Amino acid sequence: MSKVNLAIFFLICPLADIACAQGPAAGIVQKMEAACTRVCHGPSLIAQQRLDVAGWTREVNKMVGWGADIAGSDREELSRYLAEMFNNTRPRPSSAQAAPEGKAKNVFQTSCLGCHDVTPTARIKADRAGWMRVVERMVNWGAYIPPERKEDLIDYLVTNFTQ
Amino acid sequence: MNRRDFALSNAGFLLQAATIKKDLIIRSESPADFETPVQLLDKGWITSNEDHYVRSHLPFPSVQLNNWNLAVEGEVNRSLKLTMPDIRAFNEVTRTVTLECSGNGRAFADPPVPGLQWEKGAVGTARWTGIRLRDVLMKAQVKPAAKHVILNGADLPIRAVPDFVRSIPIEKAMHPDTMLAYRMNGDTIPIYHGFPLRLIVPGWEAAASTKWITNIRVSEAEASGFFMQTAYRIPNRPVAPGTIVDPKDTVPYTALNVKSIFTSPLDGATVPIGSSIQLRGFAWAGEADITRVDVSTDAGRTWSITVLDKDKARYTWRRFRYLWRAPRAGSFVVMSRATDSQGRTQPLAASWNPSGYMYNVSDKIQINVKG
Repeated sequence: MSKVNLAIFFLICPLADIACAQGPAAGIVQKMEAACTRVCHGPSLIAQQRLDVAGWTREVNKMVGWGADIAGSDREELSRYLAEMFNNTRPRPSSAQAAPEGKAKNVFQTSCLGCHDVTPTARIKADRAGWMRVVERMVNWGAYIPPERKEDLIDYLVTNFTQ
Repeated sequence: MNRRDFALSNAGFLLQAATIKKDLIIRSESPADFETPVQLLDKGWITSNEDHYVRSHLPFPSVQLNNWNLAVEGEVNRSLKLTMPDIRAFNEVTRTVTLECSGNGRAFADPPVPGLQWEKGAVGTARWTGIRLRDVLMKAQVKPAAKHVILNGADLPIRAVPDFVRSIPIEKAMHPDTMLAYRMNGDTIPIYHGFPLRLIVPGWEAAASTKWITNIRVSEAEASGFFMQTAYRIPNRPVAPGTIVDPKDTVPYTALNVKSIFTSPLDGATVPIGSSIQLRGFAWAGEADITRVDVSTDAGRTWSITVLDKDKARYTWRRFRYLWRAPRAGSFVVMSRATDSQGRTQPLAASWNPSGYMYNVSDKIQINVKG
């Protein structure tokens, strides 16, 4: 896998850096998607939280009570995964983060920075075709990008994070 | 509602909302929760329909006005079923009201708390037109036993998620300023703000202002569900950060705190040395009036009173302005602190609660002055 592809591989896993990096977590991420982010709410609702294991355990149990189909044997693993990914050591998602200036800065801030900070984006130095693939994958992962702003966003990414 | 219906119905409305509200910060794609960047609030005293923040607990409902009606039942002598023409036949009123999400500022809670991580922009001011809730209740002839009015909207939960049902005490429901609104800033209320009819409870945290209302039940008791008995409640005494609080030791959060935010310049702005900078923002206080706003340009060591704009109305924010000459090169901590007619002043340190409600610490921005 090339450096660029490896970087894209990590970026397209906003909820699952661990799943990408460590195979065993991939299973719990898929279960979470099936029970949560493809059914009741989008991924940014999860990604913006900064809770410890106890906090995530309470949230997981609350969601199970509200009908989330998460097996009892998976709840502890899911809580640990979420606490490892989305805890208080992460920077607080912020509209004031240092996104580069540009026509689609607001789209980048709202559609992308709600789930992750600028760092993983800046890791990638892709060309236009590469960014188009990344954006499509992010949409498939639940990112909402207004269709009429998608080209603007790709232009913005190419301009600011290019090879 | 099954998954496919949910996906289809929500995708359409979300597309509409996100397209129209393309400049807002998406805190949640679905349900739709969008925050207004402070620079958009800076545009003026009234927040446009496009710029006003959005809070939803459930997917937007699909509402067809030709088969829509409002049921009024419970502890009344005359149950009602009102169409929109029936609603429009009541005396019309218009009020300018600042709405603020109870969790606005939750992102600053330490330790962090779960929920939408609103920063400063889950607040906005609009002109709402509609009818008094009391006029509807009086037509229904509320019985003496009535203590609460329970409001339910057309939005439907998925799976076992609790329905979003809230109640307000009968005294607030009968207050002449509490209204059922069908227009926002002169236009039909957009779907994401509660079309065709929503409650406006002036001065109270905005979760009380139920959207998409289809049912009003007058009751002897509060609404019994999660969103009244567990959520939107605050501890009945100060608690240590990180404490788990039993709902029985909480009370409903009702009237808003006194609060202010800067809308210009933005946090982290850089200005030339010697330039005159207008520090401005908004201050609000729920059911009280703002009496003064002070700013500090030296991290709270000294304070100066600001000028309040003439635009004002009960339950609305006031814009404050202060002209500051950047004195020398350096990075300056600039703070705002509002005081209201109840004698309340913003604190300089936060009081923590498990849901991050009522955050109203003095606002703080950093301004960099370059020579």
